[in-house]
Amino acid sequence: MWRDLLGRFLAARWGRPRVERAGLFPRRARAGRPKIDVHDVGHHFARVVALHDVNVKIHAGEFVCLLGPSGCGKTTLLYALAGHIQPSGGRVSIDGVEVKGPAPDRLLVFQEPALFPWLTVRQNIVYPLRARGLTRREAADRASAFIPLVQLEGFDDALPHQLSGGMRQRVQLARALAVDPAVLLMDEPFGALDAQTRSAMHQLLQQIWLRDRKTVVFVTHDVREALVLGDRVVVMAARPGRVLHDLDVRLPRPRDPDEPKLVELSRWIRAELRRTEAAAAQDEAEEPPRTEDGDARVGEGRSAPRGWPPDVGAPL
Amino acid sequence: MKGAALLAGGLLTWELLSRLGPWPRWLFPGPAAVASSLVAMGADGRLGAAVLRSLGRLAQGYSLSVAIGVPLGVATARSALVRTAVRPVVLGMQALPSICWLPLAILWFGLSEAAILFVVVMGSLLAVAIGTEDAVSSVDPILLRAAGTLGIRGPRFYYGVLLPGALPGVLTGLKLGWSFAWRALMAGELLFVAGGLGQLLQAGRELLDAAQVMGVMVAIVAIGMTVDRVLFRVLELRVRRRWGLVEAAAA
Amino acid sequence: MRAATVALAVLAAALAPGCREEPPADRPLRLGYFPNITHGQALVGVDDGTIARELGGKLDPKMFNAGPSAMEALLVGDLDASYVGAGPAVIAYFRSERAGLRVVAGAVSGGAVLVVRDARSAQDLAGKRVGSPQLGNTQDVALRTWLRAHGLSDRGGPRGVEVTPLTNADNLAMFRRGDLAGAWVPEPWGARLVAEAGGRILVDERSLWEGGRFPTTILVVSPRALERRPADVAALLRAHVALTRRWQADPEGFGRLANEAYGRRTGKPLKDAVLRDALSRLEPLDDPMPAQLARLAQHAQALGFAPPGDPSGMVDATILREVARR
Repeated sequence: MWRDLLGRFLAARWGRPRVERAGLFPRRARAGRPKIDVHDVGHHFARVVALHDVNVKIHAGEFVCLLGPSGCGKTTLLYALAGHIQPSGGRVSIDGVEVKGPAPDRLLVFQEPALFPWLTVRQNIVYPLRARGLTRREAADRASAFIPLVQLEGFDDALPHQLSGGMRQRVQLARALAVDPAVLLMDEPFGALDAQTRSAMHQLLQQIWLRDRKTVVFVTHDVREALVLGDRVVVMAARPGRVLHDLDVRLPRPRDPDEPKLVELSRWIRAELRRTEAAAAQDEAEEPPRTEDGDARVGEGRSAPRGWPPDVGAPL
Repeated sequence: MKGAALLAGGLLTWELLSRLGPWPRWLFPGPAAVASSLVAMGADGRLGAAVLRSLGRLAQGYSLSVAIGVPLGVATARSALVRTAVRPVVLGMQALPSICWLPLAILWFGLSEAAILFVVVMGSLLAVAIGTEDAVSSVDPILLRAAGTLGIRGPRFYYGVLLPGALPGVLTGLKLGWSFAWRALMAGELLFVAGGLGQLLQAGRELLDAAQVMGVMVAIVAIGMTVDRVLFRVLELRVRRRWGLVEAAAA
Repeated sequence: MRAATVALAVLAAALAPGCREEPPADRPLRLGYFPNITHGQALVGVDDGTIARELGGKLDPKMFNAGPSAMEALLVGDLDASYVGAGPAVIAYFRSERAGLRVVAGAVSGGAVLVVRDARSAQDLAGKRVGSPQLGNTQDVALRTWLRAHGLSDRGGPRGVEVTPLTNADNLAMFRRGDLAGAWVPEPWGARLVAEAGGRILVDERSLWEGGRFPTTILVVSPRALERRPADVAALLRAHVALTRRWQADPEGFGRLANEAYGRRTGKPLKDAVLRDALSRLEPLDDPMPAQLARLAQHAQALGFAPPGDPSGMVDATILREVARR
């Protein structure tokens, strides 16, 4: 079993993707200290192996998409980066410092808008800034700058429940950008939006990223979304959660999801994922399953680990 | 319209029963006698003074229970240690009718205002605390996560995220606590002569004046409903509308 | 099934206040009284069997703690007769539209005092709190009437006195703690306030009435009992008159018996000195004193405690006169 897995892993690593010339290249190690270093990280919930020996290095200014089917541990990995989960093995460090909990240099953007329902759009942006010690004036200025950036002029005083899903998600994006973290961690932020809104959000996010060049780690299970947005796509597989391919995307920006090249690449990645899954299913048919449920996502909600983050607010 | 007709019908039946029923009218006065007793109590200032006194006490006792109950509820919801230590006691004491605190109140505070306040606080504190705890525990975890990742912590977290997030639920607890406080106050005011509506009720009994007893009961019901239906309803509706829990268009 | 029965019972109770089944005439006479020295005839007569003997054993004594509850019981038909303070009896009479009771005899006159801490006159009590035994009872009415006669309100305020009805025991406790500037109480509580709490008698109520006599305890019966079982009422009155005469003849000996009976009920007999002091201010008297009762009724009506009405039909002394003549 293990030998088989290793063999397949090596093949995936060194068996060059045939589509190389079409825009995808195996990740080449970069010089210099990475911004984010995920080293031999493993994690399990009870007896479910969510992550197994994951190694990823992310450099400052990169836009990295973690792509994979549900259960591949991509969300778990993201939460480990955010500091909301302590992995059971290995080491996650940022700028060489081990991650021990959430910190102001990283910010998580959720699939749900996660806006404070009693605050207006403007207040939702201002309040966290005030909490981070900005003066009233500075916070107001930033809100005024970011609300137009996400195309919400005129909605300053609207309450979240008066907005559409896409607008709410834009408020969340504005709130995250206004806080100005070094690393933006995004957990399928557009997963719940309809296709049209989603593609508008992709354009918007690309524009903003091209302007600011923040380090972004973006979790998605949508192959095309990953190819449209990412500089780099880390393809993950489930059971156990592991990295299948680590690919550089070399396509000109801004990208169009219907571009033939992009469509072709996404077809290839999808085939690759299907192949891995079929092999795993065959393994399982031969052997008793190692886990009842490989879904690394916990919590009855979609992505958030169950319960409250241990670090929210001060302990009593 | 229909409601008014039904009310009128009910009052008429009551008056007829009082006048034609087999029992003496002074034991079972009709609405006219009750109303005239209410008017008499209002005219000589007894009713107004009693209402003011009762509401004053209620304001003190209830504020005290909110001031203690809300932080207690938050602490129970947020700290496993407090939860283990306090929760069984709170739940157990919640089962105790507030009137059971009377004897202890008298032993500790004598026949004083403090004794009545004690009964009011004990009667409503736990409902407030339990309501707050429930509300805080059921705040959407995504909001707490968002607060965590946005770096909102300390007092700003409690006043800016946790309490507002729990507010719709906390209001329900506050409303329940208010109705408990009101009941406990009436029990406490029957304790000894210290003014207030409970006392006016007791006086009616001691003077064998059933019309006064019923009149005061009507006043107690009216005040209870006013606060519950008007004050809390309006407050709840406003909060729910702002929080987006009801359709703004529907209102 | 059971729930339905209970529901029916509740409904019936709610719809039928005062509709009690008529007790048959050979049922025992239900007599109310309080564990109080001013109810001496009842205490001694119940305990040594005098009353039961006259009634041929048909006595069902019921003890109450306060006038209003005894009067409630009498009005709704749970009592046939009761020793009671004059105040609650007057209020019950008018409240029941003069149909609920008749006064058939007096029992005790006097025995009510205003004990104060340091006041020298009514004016010294202004702005303070004074206790009374019960809203609308004899002493409560007397206190409020006396305050008004001295130009003071009985509803508190700087130019008034806050009259606070309390149980006798609470009056003593609060007086001792200094929470009361005074208390208008019946004996033996007056004597106890003096002996145990260092109080001083400011007003002996006897000084307020012509001839020094006024009804403190009286004997009332329900009109139904008077009408349907006059023989039993007469028997009760025979016992009452005999007991009253015994008390008048030997105040000290009778007082001791009453104190023993009081001790059996409350667990704590009075000290000899307190008992002697208390007895010195009260007088057993079977005269129902209609004139004084009428005046008391006017006072209660003036205070708004009793509805207006003519007190003349309240006393029915026919049987008492017959019994006394023999």
